[in-house]
Amino acid sequence: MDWLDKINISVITVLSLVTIGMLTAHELEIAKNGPTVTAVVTAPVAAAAGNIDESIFKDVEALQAKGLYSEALASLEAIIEKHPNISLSKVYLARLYIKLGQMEKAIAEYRKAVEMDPDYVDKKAARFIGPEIKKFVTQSKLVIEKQLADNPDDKPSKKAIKDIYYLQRRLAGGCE
Amino acid sequence: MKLLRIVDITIITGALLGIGSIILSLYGNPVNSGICVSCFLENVAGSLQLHNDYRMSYLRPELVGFILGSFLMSLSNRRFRVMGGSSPIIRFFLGFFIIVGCAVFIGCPIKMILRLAGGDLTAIAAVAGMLFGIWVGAKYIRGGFRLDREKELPKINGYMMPILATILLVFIVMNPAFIVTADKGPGAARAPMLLALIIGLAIGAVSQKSGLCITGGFRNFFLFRERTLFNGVITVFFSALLFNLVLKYGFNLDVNEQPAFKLGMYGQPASHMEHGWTFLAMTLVGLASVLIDGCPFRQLVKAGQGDVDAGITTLGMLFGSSLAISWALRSTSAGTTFSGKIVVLIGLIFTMSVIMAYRNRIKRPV
Repeated sequence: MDWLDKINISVITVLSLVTIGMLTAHELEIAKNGPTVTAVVTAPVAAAAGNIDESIFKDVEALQAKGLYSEALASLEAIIEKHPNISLSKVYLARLYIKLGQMEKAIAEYRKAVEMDPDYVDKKAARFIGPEIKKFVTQSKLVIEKQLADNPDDKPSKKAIKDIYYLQRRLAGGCE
Repeated sequence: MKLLRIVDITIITGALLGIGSIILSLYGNPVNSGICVSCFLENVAGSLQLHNDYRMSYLRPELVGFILGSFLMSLSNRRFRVMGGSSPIIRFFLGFFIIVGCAVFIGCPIKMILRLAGGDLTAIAAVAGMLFGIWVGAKYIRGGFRLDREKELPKINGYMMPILATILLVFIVMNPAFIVTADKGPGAARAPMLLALIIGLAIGAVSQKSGLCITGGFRNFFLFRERTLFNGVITVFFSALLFNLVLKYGFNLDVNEQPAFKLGMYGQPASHMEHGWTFLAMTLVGLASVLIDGCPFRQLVKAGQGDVDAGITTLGMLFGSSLAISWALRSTSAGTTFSGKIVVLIGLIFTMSVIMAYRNRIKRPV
């Protein structure tokens, strides 16, 4: 056994321990908090999100058109409670948060919508709302960056900027 | 042919790869991903229903072109030699792990260069990882690593991959019902079929002649300070960079509605910010590619010229592509999945174990 073998065995041992440690930590986390939502939305989930009756949002749209944003939000939250996996409700939620001036929450909802259904940022899909998201992301980025410059430890702003970068990457396209 | 004698063939191959990739992106392929063997294999796996992500499904003519271009060129210059039998099952699994590594970075070594040439600085961690992996692999090769010796096999073995590529070409043209072709998502981002096939054939043919390989270029440089292939790799980068800069600053042209060149870390297409995992994943790609003598692109080209071992590696890569999507062994813009991280670590353990098993420990300078 020469020094190359010794390095090799050391690396294999360390990598094995790290792997076992990660798997154990992951299992403990699941036992404590339940299964975590994976970042990758599988095709059946996205397909299910696409097969919804959009008329359930009629009341929300009507209230929003009248400028009754808080009432629209309450109506939307009732729909979400009943149908938690509909991606379109996240888009409606984001639009309402924009009207209510809650920028960070709006960004987070757009992100959830895109994670659930990538069609929102796919220009070949019927649900494409890329320009709407892009416009909001561009405007809000300046505000969030200013907030972070004033207060670098502000947690909501830190999360919001991460969500903005995520949305920018998705809007840029590529193999995903 | 006279031109090929004047200019080094590896430089021509590099330029064709770099410029061909940008042209394919201009005509519809995903941005920064005009050519990406791992992404395209994922598309092919989806098209053949080896995974069920509809958005990632398209039978990419470029890959078929690489194999058939190499096959035709090797027949014409009498370099079609049917060799095989060198640790086939090991190569199959190394091919699998290479693709998982690529999926965690989101791109093969060619796409890594293209991403960098498009100004994507997140690819720097990938370059560092791949170079580290190649350097480690080169150390072990110098230290006596070698897979089983290959031997000459009956001709029919060598024809299998070109025949498979021909069948896929028939599927592309005939578009039978069992072949899935996405109308949205990355699978729908595609250049016209004929253009993709012609560029694929041309690149496959010149690559067979030059032997260009991204990892091989660096390996030869690390091992022997030999620059022939290395110059080709550098040419891929500079030709793509130059073309991108000309498109952006010369013609103000966008590629798939994105700037041809955008310098920075943020807002880059198909990227993520988990640089540590990018480094480890591309270390795996660099190391495993050195052990099996070629990057994913080179494996396709070798499979076309009668190398049965490369054909088996290609099938391993196709298997890896299907599981990378089905089991989420990959990264997305949100980051690397837990299963992707675990399989990268297992891949490194497997690769280091293969090195242990196949070292000839004759004392020699390291």
